[in-house]
Amino acid sequence: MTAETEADVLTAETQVSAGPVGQSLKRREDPRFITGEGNYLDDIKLAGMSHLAILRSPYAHARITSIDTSGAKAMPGVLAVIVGADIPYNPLPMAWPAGGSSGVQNNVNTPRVLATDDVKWTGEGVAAVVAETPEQAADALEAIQVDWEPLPAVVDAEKATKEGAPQLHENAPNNVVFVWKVGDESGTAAAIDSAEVVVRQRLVNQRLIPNPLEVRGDIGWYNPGTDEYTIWMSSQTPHIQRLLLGAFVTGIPEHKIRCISPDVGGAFGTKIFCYADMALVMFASKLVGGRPVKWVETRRESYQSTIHGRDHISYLEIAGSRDGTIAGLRVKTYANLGGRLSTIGPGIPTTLYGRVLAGCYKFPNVFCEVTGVYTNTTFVDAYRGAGRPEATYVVERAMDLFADEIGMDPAEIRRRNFLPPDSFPYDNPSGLGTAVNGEKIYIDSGNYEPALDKALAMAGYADMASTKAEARTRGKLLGVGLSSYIEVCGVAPSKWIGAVGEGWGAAMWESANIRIHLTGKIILTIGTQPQGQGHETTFSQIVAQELGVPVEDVIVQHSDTKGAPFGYGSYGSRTASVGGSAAIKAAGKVREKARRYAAHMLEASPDDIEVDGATYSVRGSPDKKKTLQEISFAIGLGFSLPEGMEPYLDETAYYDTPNCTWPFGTHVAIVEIDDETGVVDLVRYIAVDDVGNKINPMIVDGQLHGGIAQGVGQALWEGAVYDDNGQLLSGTMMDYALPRASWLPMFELDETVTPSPVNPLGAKGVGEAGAIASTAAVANAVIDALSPLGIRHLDMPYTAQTVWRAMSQAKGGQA
Amino acid sequence: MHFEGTVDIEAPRDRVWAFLMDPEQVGRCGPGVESIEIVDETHFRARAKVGIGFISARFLMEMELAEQYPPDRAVMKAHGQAPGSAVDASAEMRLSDCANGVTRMDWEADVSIAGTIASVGARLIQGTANKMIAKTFDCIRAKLEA
Amino acid sequence: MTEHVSLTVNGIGREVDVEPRRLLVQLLREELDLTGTHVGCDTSQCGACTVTMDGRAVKSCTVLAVQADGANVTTIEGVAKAGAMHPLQSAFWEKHGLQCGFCTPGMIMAAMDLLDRVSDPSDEEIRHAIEGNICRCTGYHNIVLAIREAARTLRTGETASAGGVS
Repeated sequence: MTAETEADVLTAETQVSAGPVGQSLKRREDPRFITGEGNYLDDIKLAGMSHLAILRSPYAHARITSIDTSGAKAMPGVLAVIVGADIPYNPLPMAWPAGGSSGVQNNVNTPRVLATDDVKWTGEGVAAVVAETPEQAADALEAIQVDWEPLPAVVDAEKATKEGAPQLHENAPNNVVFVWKVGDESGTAAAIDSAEVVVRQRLVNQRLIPNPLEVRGDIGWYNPGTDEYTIWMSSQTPHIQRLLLGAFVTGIPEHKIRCISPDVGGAFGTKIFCYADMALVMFASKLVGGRPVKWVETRRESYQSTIHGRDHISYLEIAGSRDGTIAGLRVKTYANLGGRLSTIGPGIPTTLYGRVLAGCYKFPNVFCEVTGVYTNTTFVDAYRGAGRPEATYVVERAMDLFADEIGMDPAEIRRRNFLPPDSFPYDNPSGLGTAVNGEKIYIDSGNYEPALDKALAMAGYADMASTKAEARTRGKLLGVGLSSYIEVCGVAPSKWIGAVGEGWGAAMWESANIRIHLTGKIILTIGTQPQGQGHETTFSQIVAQELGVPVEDVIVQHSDTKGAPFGYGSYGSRTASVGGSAAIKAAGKVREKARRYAAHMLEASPDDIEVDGATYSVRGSPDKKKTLQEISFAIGLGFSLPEGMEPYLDETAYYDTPNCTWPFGTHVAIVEIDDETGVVDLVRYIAVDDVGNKINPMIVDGQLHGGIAQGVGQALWEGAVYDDNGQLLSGTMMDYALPRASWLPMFELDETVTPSPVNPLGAKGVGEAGAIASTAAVANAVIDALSPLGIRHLDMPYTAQTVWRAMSQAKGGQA
Repeated sequence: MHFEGTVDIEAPRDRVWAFLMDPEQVGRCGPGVESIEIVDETHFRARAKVGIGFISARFLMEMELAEQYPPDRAVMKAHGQAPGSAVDASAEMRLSDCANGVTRMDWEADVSIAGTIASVGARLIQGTANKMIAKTFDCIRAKLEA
Repeated sequence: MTEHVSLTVNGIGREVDVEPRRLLVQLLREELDLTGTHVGCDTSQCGACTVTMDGRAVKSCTVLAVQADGANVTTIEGVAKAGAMHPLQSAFWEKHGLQCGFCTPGMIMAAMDLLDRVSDPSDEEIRHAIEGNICRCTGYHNIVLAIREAARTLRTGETASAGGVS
């Protein structure tokens, strides 16, 4: 803040010209959330609303021989019973094939709204009941008789590709969805064959259940009077869902569908996708004559019907010389995609994984082969970080394994192989730079060593030997782990997507509309969709900054396809860099029109109007001025308009980013492992991140905290477990260990700031950074702690049982 | 899941065999069994309520005496369904004579459980199943030894 | 078949007829329209449904509505008094102790119980007190800071120096 003495004489305009962007303003969303006035999907009650429940398969793999719904139809309160054959809709779309349009064979199978002939995972929907109350709907499910013919199941992606494994789909021999390759296969092979040192390791990146605290749900309402549908959905992408539900699933014209996303209680990727239930509530509402139909999944249901994340089995080979120079990285990965494909399932372990496998390092040779695999499990798609945590885990474990092999310090080997700061824009060998029709994506910027140095200093890395010795006296094995990461985010240039057929197979620009009302109050409407990130606050900061008005004068609307310009939604850490830039662009259009109108009001040439905050004055005559409020009032009335000018300040902008953005940083985890019990305690966590310029540093820190906690969760506790028959054994929050308050330390954060050159904010995106970096940092710390016992690798999660068993075996005892 | 065990019953082998092959008799010993319906000589249906942890479900079980070699060996197959859950089982028992009029039954069973019961009760299934099996045999023994 | 329940919710006497299997959380959300109390799981793990009953934090998904007969229940909607936020609410706002907001009501109610019993809790005590409340967004860091700050405010009567205003 400005000094108090000055503040007395400063006008509102000059105060804001210091700029709301960059300030840690409190969030304007919060009053409703902290007083219980949030409006989440399940809080919505509509007149005449009925309730839907879904009968789900108890088998992981079975044929449906018959379904008898007569008993359920006779149950109290039941309005309708629906089976798959009743629904004339198409199967759900799959919008991101592996390899885009490059010709990679993708053997696609997606879910139907309700399964008709067979089920491919435990929890696939087979029938539904609409009833007066949720309880009646659930009770009636019990009266539906399904005859099943159980089939053998397979849950492990690597085993599913082997001879003799149960086959899921006729069009996918050996359960292979695709085999996708990136990088230089022969060059990498040559580098590995001729290298002084080669380290090999099998890595399992276990399956995770994302667990936003609000489960998913939808309300469908068919209006018989207008023949239009409204769907309230807990979604990150209401505009995309309208497109997919209309054009691909139901055939209902897109303009007759309205999607509304109310307050969303966390998402982390799970709410990006087109789910069967969205179409089901549309169908059901029409079936019951236009009564609204609500479906909200239970948590147990969610564990089987909402996407899972990760689930890779990888074989890595890293080669180089004893001086620590890496010559090549080769990775073969089996990516488990579940029983049928989710909306962008194949895109996650390919472009968002293989293409960033080299991380922040200058590896001359990289090659990655990914086999996407069907198994009898819930579908896998984007979970916070989506491919990039998996890539970071591989490369950061690889760096530690190589360092261990040649006896080099993990910090030193990273330093030696970092891309130097003069490398940018950098065309990385694992393929994001791959040119298709001349369209390339480059790593835009980076300066990795200062972040590493800062993190090491904060951690007291130089004194780690004595810290370890001190812990030893307390019966603790102390380990320190590094993770130097980059991520690709701010997705994505539409022309690149168009050229390579990646992403949604569609553009990925973003939209913003600014209207300034007669009173000077501003409504910004955006195409992105918050799930807790505070867009209402940060976007008002951006617009207030650009137009020189108090943030209180800007309100931010979103989440309703009616009235909002089309937008691609929020995921891939894109909202600030792409959506924020759209808001800046819209503000620029408004400013330009206001400038031209000010010239009209002040009888000057537009070229002579100077804009300072919200003040528009004539150059050389500072007394001749109009405020934005005065301009918006006059142009809004339109009593006097220059030739050809339309009344009102109302401008829409569509921003297409010229490139993705590339946050980076180094995280350091310090763990202590109890020598007796194997319990791992995360004692310190240090994160130095470079996310470019920050709109609201408080919100940025919060995003990092949350991402770090989720990544730590994967390393230490979380994991979805299926038995060999495809039964999800970790089927409730009792069996799936989510991080709790007492398991985590305070996080120690710092920053370096390298503004992104690709957008006017210089912002890169921060929603996923924490989750991308932290899993590898904690994993490396645990292995470092165990390394005195000769342990060089363990698969996650590092539960006490896993660690204790490994320690016992290493010590030569029984386990 | 695989279970196996041995039970000694103080009753002659013929009587034990006859009891075990009578669905009405043996069925009543199943914990939570509410009704038995005989379909034919080798098929019957049972309704049973099973609770694991905080959930319980009413199963409709289709049972089949798949193989009978009186009075030595029998194989039974069962398929049961409850809302959102299913169970498939195959059990084999062998009878032999011991001293003092005791009949020894060696049995083994393979059970697979699917759906809600599997995902929610996974940690508790083994324990619950053991308890239910023990109860069943206690009941059979008590009735035969009475 | 219903049973009659009389209880006080946020200071207002309520008379409701409920099914015996109805949970307190359903009574609050569905009969009384107090949707600030959330349901996040079905196994009493997440704590999103935490309210106070006779001053003690309870997970309202583990209490039958009939068990609340005669009880004094406070939900998040009853925490602010006369339009003024409770220090816990102010501190969650000030310290960015929430993101999506779904766990927040339960988290605040659990913290309310703690600060009722302990005026100057350590971070360890704070983390222990909210052990039964899952937050998937914040990593708990700012929640701990918020509860620490609220405790200070309640002890000293001073509010934190104003941060930004939005």
